[in-house]
Amino acid sequence: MARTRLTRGDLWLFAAILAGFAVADAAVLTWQWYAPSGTWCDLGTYFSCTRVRESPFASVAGIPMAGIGLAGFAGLLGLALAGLLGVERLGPLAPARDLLILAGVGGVLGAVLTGIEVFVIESVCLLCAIGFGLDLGVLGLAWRLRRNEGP
Amino acid sequence: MVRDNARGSLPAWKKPVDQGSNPCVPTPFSDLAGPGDAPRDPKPKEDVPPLRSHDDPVAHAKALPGGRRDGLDHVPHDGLPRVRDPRVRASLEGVHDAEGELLGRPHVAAPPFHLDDEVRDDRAATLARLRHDASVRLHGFGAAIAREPEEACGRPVAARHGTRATFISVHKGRGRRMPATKCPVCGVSVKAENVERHLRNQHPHAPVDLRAVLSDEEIRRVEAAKKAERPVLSRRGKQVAGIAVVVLAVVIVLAILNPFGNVGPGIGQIAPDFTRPTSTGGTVTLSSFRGFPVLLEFMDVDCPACQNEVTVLASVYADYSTRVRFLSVDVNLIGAEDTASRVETFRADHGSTWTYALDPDRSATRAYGITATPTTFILDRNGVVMQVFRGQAPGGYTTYAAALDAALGT
Repeated sequence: MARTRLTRGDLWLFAAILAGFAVADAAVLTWQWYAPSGTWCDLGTYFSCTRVRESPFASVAGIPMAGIGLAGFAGLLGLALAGLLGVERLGPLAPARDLLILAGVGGVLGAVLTGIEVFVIESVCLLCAIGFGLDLGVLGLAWRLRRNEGP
Repeated sequence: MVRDNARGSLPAWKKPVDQGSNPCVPTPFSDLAGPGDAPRDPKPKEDVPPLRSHDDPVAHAKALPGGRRDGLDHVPHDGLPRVRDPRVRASLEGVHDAEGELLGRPHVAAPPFHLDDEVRDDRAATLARLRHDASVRLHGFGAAIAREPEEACGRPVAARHGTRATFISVHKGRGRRMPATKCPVCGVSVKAENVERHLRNQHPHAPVDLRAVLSDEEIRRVEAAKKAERPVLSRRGKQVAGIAVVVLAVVIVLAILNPFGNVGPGIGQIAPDFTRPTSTGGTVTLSSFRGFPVLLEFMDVDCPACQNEVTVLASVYADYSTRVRFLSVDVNLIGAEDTASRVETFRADHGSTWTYALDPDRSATRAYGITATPTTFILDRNGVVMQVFRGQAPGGYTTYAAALDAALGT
């Protein structure tokens, strides 16, 4: 069976879905930060959101990293939805370009935080890793969208 | 090949014109020729890339030999577009077929003309507009528009363009027709569908209400046009998206609900017994406290929440120590390895004088499903779990006091 090619609309839709789940993921982590409860996201000593949450790297100046992630993912979701609706400009923002930039910044930040989890805290927060993966997914889609769009 | 005209003679627009007598005033239909007619331009044709739909016609015209925006803008309105198809004539009065029947009237734009997307996509119309400052909207089936640059009267003429198409409409597009409206700021004629973009790009600081410029009907049509311009979703894309949604939802729900993690004893269950070394070098057995309610705390000396909670527990201990047994177990979830000396230092720093045990092999940690610290169990006199606080107890002292009072039966 011949496979149909994915359209730009499909790519925007995928980006919106990934960003939507990333928002939900970051929202859960943020909620856990402000209302900590047990057993969530803790598969053991190594895969433990709790250990990561209680580490000094979990916040910057009192602002939880999860909250920063939530804001970033919300931005990605907004841009993806704008692209899905065919909006070319959002004020100074260009959805395709800024999706790539924002996802890129999130990818760098996520890589650094994942490195800290693995090598410093020696414990991995599964929800954080999922968020990082979702961001990389959005980054890939944004790159394809940008590449297809041309300079 | 010269097409035969139905009337048997050459129409006016095909009659030879004496260019030398008045070379700078285009005579109506002066340079129209049918397909196959010998080119009347003695100059060799230059290889100019074709105008693509997304090119800026003005910029493109500038790139033509001798092309200048000024020359294009000020072409008097007495010329005619050059349509090489003998069956079609286009003029400022309209588009006519060979029989003179009016096929469509042109839209005359107010100077300076505004190029919009529709016109950009219609090369013939765009070029006609460049030449005459008017938009003769040509539309045809399978239009094969040829263009070639030429010089006329010392200034650039956009192009001659020929088409074999039968013109059935004066509007290009998917059947939608957007009337032009005036921009309230600059007065330029703008298509209704482009008004919003025009205001945003050209007058970003002008406080213009779109509803004051467009009628409700126009706004509805603009919205419909916008909707039609949204990116298209393919069937396969929707299928993949559906699968992705299900998979991601399952993964995240599993990660959050964590059905594979340790659960520990629930309320109403007997608390698992254990014997653990204490920070003072002895051992402690949980079941040895039977007969008294027990406050059993799982903590970590490196956990900031535990450091906050111990001050609360110290005040609770001060009031309940004679009736309730207190036991804290360091589970070493985070930070450096917790040793007896570190726990003793912690006790001294926070004034917590009750028994502290360590769990080096994590057997108690697993038995109680400890994944976060502090986690505090309130046991009754028989070792049955009455309450569990994961994290710092909301309400602090009051919460603990109420739980212990319930365990004491007071």
